[in-house]
Amino acid sequence: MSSHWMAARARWLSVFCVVLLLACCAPIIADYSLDAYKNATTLKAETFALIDKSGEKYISHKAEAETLTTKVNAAYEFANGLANNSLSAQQWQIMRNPNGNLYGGFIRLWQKGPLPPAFREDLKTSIGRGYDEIICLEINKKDTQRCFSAAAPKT
Amino acid sequence: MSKFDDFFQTVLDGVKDAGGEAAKDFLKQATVDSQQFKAQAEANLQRWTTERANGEIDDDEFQSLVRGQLAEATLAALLKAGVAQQKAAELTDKVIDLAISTAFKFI
Repeated sequence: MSSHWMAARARWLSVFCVVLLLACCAPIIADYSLDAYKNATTLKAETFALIDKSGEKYISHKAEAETLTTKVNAAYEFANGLANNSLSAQQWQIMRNPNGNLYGGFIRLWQKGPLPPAFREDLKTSIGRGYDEIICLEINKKDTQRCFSAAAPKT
Repeated sequence: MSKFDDFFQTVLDGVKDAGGEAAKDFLKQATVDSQQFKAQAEANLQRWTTERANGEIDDDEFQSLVRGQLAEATLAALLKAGVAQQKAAELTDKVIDLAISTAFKFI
């Protein structure tokens, strides 16, 4: 076997090793999930509807609020249960956090008393943008593109 | 130049093109986004301060909105990380496809 042939073989082998390495070490992100997308878009609309009612006493809408909180928690559990989906799961955790300032914070403040109109509008904008970030990340798992969110405004 | 060198150069050129476009696009996008986010944050703070001064919202609500904006920024950062991860994965796929298709041409 000639040394030239051996050298050529070694170089081709190194190419296949590089290709294999690229395949093994590629950053992994979860696949697009239609269920996750539907969760986010539906819960955004349902949260807006509940914010509209938060000018009234919490106790009058307690069952409704608890049902929605359960759905938001379920969306977190769904995202957290998918492989390689930690970024989306973290987003849901921030959204639902009872000590935070998005959905969880809205419920916490409402429990203290009815929320004034200006705050309800501001909340819808703030929480709406939060949901948009979650929706946008899900969309980008299918196809990297710009979408409407605070970080990536529509152009 | 050997066949292998030709092959390697072809793959390198392909990677340079693909990587260059992705990198340029990402940097351009990040700059635009941070400027728009800052402008939006300033406008929000101004509006909430006015609402607080007019008594339309109380201290707790004002603080919640300001902190909510930070939470939004965190969500946006997670989105950015996800998009970058996805783009990197797409770029890796392109490089692998390019290496394999180029290898077949040279075999």
